[in-house]
Amino acid sequence: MWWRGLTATAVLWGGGIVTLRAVVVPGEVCEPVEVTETRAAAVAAADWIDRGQYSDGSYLYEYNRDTDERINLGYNIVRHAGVTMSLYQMAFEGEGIYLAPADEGLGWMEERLERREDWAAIADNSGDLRLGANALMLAGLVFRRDATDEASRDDLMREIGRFLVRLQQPDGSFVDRWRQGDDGPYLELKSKYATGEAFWALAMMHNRFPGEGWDEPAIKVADYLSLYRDELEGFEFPPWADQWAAYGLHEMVDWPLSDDNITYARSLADRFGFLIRTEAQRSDADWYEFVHGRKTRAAGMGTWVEGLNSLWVIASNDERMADMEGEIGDRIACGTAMLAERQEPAGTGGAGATIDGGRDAISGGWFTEGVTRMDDQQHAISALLDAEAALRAREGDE
Amino acid sequence: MNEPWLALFAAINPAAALIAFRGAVSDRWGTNAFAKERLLVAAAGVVIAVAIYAALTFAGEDLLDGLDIAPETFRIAAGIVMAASGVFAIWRMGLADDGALPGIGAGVFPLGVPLLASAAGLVAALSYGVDHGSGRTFVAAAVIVVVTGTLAWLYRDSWRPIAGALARITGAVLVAVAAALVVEGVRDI
Repeated sequence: MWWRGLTATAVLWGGGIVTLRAVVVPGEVCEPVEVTETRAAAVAAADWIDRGQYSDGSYLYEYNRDTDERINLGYNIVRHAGVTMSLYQMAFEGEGIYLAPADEGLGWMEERLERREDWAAIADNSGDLRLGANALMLAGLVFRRDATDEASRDDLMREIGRFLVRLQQPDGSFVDRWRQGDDGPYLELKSKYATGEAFWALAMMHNRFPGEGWDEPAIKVADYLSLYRDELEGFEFPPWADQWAAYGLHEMVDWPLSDDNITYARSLADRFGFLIRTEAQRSDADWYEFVHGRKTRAAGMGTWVEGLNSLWVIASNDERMADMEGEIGDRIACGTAMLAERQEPAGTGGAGATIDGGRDAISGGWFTEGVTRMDDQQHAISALLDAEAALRAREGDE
Repeated sequence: MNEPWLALFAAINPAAALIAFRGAVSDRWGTNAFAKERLLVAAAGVVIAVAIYAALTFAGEDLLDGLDIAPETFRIAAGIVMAASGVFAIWRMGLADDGALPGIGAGVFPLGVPLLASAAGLVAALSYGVDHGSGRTFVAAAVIVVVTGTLAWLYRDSWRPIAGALARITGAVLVAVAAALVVEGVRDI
């Protein structure tokens, strides 16, 4: 009965190969992308934000292309600060026309500024002074300073920096807010995002104002993130994919980073790389969507590329991570290619798909199930801009 | 023992291959004709398996490129196949009733494929070849195949109890190696 065995083997192997291909290892689709294309995508995204800016400096928060609805309910001050920061980043990268809308966004935040003792912070609608919003506002001000060489807001930057430090705890961690009416930080709440955001902002401060002592809290939180955060804050599958922490480590690359920081940076690169690989296997086909889930929104995928961009800089400057430089570059190329490919091209916003005054609300946006939110564009912009160094290095190699 | 050697030894599972081969040729085992051609059967199996391992280990990178699969992702697939094979070895020790091609053809099926060039062995060779170097991985696969082929030529029924135990132990090792490979595939960049 040898033919029966042979047939059974052939069927088993054939079925196994087909099943593996469909379920575990579908192709990772990352079309090659050039820096000119990624820059054009970043510009188109910044245009989306610019077109959606209201006269008070706030931005179109969310847009549903299927219902032509503009949704500003639950407007988020942290995201406002992040979007403004990404516009300043555009200006810093040579796209000076975005300085004006960024300054309008800054004006919106400065109207919410509160000053106490030696520090200042912006308050959200409830009056709480939130770590993340202030950290991202400070990061935006750093980019503004780098882009314009203006020192007009240096004192404000220091005041916000001092607010961040007020929220730092003895173990290096940060609490999330100072609640309205309280006479000290609210100790019961930490944020998985804001700690890394504060780390980044403080590390940036040290690099712009060396000798003022900003490095001390930055190093402290870097060690907290590297060694304790995932366990103490209960992240189930460490490391938590924290691109803000990667940004902070990037700022510290010449300080230099400790061995623990490098170990943490390597684990972050592994995590972001895995997420990019998995994302590249996703497709719109029903079967793949059923097995692998729906495509991740740009606000998510952008953060992975942002994290990898920072880690690539560390890998290209620090021998202890040099072995990862090529692979990080590969994942960045894949992530930016997916971002560029999934963006709505210019001219897609037709009649009815408009922001106030008939402005196109689709072109340059990233839509998930018909909806885009301003931080989709923010994270994509930061990801695409910072990827340029790694992409250029790859273009040079090829 | 470095990783490719351990992984390929566990994936090829010589003891399980011997038991399965013995079961597949049971219809001719005691005959003079088979005794005379056993060396040729074993040699044919070794040649075919070594050729397949050579193709997979040396062309592995191009193959994965062509399929748009990162080596790290392929580790997950390889680990799944290896774990399933390991569980099968623990459960059945390699016992099979699949029959064999007539004459020297038994060296092609089942000895060459799927016993020496087993599903677990092939995915392990592909994965470890890309990750640890094709030359190193091929040498490991070839040596294990040659040794297993030689044992298939020399096999005696009195070896059966020891081979059965070894097949199960090797299956357990394969499950552990496979689990580590999957974890590496998930955790690595």
